[in-house]
Amino acid sequence: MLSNLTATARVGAAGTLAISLASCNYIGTDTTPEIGVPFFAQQIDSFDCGPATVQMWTAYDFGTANLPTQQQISQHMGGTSTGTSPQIIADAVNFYTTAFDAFVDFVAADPDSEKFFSRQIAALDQERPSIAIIDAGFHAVIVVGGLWHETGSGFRAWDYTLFHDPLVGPRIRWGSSSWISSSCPPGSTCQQIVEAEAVAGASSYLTAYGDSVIDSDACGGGGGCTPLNQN
Amino acid sequence: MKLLISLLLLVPSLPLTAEVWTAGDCPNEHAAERAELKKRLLAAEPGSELYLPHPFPATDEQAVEDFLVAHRRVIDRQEGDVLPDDRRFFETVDAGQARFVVSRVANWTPSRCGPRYETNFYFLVRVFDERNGEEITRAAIADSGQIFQLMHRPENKSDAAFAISELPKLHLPASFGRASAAQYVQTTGPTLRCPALKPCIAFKSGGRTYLSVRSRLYRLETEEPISYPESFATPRARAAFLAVREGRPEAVVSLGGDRMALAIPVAP
Repeated sequence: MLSNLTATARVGAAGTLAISLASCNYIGTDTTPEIGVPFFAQQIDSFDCGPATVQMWTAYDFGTANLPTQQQISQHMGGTSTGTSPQIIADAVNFYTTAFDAFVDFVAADPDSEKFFSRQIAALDQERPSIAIIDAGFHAVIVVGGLWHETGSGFRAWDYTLFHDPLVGPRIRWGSSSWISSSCPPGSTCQQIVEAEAVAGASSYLTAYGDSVIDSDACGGGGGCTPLNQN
Repeated sequence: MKLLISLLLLVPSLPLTAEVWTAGDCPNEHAAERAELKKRLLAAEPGSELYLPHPFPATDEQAVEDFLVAHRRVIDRQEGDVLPDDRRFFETVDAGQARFVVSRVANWTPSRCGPRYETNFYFLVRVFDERNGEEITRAAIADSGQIFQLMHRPENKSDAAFAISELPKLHLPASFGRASAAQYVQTTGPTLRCPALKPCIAFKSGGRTYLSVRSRLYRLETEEPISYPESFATPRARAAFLAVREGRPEAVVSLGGDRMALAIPVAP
């Protein structure tokens, strides 16, 4: 539906990030900035965000009838007292949802973060959610949309990411800079769970649109920011 | 723009300190990058996409003004219809029916001291509809004045699960002793999480630092910090660190930047 949209980002001084596209400035569908994933708060403990995100993804694919409980998902995942690994979350996504090729997308924060965010937005472009591992790798949220805009100087700026946080609430918006910082802290890694099929177009998007990207919070209209492919 | 802003101080059971405190100054590693971005923000003029009326606001009132300007700018450049939650928010503000309650949240997460902003704290802006007393919006505004996080209570959801949760209050047992320097904090760790929009409370007592996480209380071992890069920056390091801690009662939380600390449960 939105095959003409993508975004890329780099965690660095210039904070470049690019988005391409066409008929609207939503990252999600043509009519709203979100893809319609139901929200469920996490029910068990502060480190049971993984089962809650898997439950939301399952509800998006199959509806809310006969939905597995978070307790059931947690037992299936076999979490420990120190939390759940991203790989276990990816395995649960493949078990409970329609996804069969979900994987842990893992990159060093720099210099590959632009590819990472390109895949995140490519998934939304296919109206598929992804699970972002944020807060320095300690928390899982489900990404459901976002907003970008074209600046007066011709850049495409990523305004915010929209996600459901099972600990806080639905439809939380994070400004682009803070989303990048939380997803890819300095000196650390970036991790998310995405479907291989949903992100297949990400690299061609990046090639086509990488030059036009900016991080809205850090660059505003683009003046003074280095284009992505010149970093 | 006509704004009717009323600001109230939040008074929990233990009064909050006026100044936020963190585990230490930011290292110089990203100072030059941060300075460049700060310069860009301060130089932004009306019409610029980075413009804020009060970059790096000094007061709660200035933070609210920055929030409203930045939020409206995003809505104005949206090409489709204004979302119902955004429309309700601005209708409430424009009708003079919004009440703003501002408090500060110290940033103790690893993203503090990053290449973009130092972000020692956030202004936590809570927006209430005066007509029914409902909190309709909560936003964390970075110390730069930019919107960090924002959530509206969904307009068409009456379910309590969609209500914006109350901020925590600290009730210490009488046997605990005198506490001071209480503040809201955003922090994170493998098993504890205090989001900016749903913060926890940190305070000091008897020369020690404590963290109240919902119904639990922890003493933080701040004198023996754990290195985030060494223990958590890669999946392998993280797995090795957590394998040792499996089944143990203490947690690990970030103090901000690259420092973390053991959090020892305190009996109620």
